[in-house]
Amino acid sequence: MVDKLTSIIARTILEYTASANRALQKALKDLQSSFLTDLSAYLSSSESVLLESFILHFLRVLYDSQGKCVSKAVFLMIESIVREEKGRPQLSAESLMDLYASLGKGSDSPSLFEDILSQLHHKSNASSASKAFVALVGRLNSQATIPKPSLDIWCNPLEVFIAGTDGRQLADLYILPSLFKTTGEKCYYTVIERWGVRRDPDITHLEFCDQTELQLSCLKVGKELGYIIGIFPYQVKM
Amino acid sequence: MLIVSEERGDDRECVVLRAEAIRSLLVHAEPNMMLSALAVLVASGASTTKIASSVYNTVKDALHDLHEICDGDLRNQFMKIMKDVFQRVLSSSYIANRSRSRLVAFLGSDKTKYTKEDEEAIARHSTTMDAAYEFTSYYVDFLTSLLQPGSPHSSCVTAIDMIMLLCSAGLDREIFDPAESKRVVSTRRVVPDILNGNTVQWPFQISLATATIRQLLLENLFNPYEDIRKKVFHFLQVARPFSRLEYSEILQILERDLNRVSQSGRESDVDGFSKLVVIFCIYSGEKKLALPLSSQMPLPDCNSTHGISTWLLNLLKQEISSLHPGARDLRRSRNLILGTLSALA
Repeated sequence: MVDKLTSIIARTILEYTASANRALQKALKDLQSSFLTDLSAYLSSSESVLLESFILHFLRVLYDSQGKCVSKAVFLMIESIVREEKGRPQLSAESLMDLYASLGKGSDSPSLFEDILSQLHHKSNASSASKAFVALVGRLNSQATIPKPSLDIWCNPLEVFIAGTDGRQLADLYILPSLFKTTGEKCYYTVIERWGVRRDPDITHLEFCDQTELQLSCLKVGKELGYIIGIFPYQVKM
Repeated sequence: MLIVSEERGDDRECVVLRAEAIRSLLVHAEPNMMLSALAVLVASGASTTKIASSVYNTVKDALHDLHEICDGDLRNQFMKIMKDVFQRVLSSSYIANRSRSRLVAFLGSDKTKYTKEDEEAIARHSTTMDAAYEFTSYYVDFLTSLLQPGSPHSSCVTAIDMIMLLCSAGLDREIFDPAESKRVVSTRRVVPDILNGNTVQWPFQISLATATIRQLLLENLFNPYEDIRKKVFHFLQVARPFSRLEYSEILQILERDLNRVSQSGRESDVDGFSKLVVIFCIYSGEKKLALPLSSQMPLPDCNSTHGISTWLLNLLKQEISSLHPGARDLRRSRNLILGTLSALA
């Protein structure tokens, strides 16, 4: 009975979010958030399957989309389930990724990051999808004990996405600023070095390469976040 | 591979991007690359952070290439970056001016009591303001040069947009004061507001309605490109740089441009003349001024906008009545009638 109710609520949210006006969208978002909070209370108990079942309704929509535009509710769900919130336990990023991978058939193991990024090509979903991506990366980074593998998990799909059509512009607009703000200075330096920005105290010129535009985008974000500074006599980083 | 230099501050590592290091990218053949480099150069976490003189100089060197970007989307990107630049120029110079004034007020007028640190602080604030003024002044002159007849379409469009932007920021409050924008632009927000609702005012003023700029704007009202004519028309409607014009000057302009229409008969000239008449109608209507009599084209006893339209109608009647199969200058009359009708429409 509860399982059926879960299914109805998930389908209602998914179906109506896309066509809803602002007020209804907000109401559906609140419903989703409250329902997740209530279900999360069962996480430690044997009934945690209810939460997984609810989440799977949304993840399946993304998995089945094959790159087509999906309901915004999917990303709102991902963002709120991984976001740290007082008073309710969250689902770990790894658990969410495992849950998504379980949707794959046979040897096919879908990547949650890749599929979220593919939705950035749809203008209506770009903002929500990017928020879900950043929330997931932020959660992953806060949980990961070994930084390198966790970096590969999200950085590899991001690199593939950036290399694709309009990828750099979309990443520049929707992903990079909030991503580097969330992941912090240390991660920023690791990523820009991975993308070819070399730090050298003796060299004061820039060299060109295929990735120069991406590197410049990263440097711009770095300057805006205060990770990189201009050379002013009095502008010393505190 | 892109390289940034790393320096060590007093107590911790910091990564520094030198303005000089990015200079080569600002003259790159790809406009995308140029804009990305410019964005990096002027990016800052806070709009009140002062812009270093090396950055000003680097931007100045690249201005010519940046204003020749033809692609519309990229031009919009460039405008956005320049908007951020002037937001910083405005905010940093405002802060510098305020800090200097407060310091001087606190220390008093007796300069012999100033410590070395006080003098250095005052000098630093003055340098920030001077650099901001020098750059803005240079940029306005540069934009003026882009309005010259024969300038490429892209340069001209960007120059008009940038003048509008600076105008909307209140750089010349005599022709557009953002604080009074609601009064001037009654029903809709016509000019993008650089200040985003902020009431910060420039610590210095630079005229955007000099005789040269006015002359060049009027010339561009007859530009062969329709979008340029529309932009200039829009700007002249909103900013009113002609509020300082004397009556005799208005008349001279009207007569000169009517002659231009009658001689060329080009569509762009006819369109330009009609726009010019609309602008002067708005202006004379606001000021409640009557146009003086002209020796060549007698005006009726007229007041404000009604006066201009009456003048045009009389002109039209006069031209039509002079038309007959044996008239010597039929082409001139045709153009004149066309221009007058268009202005009346």
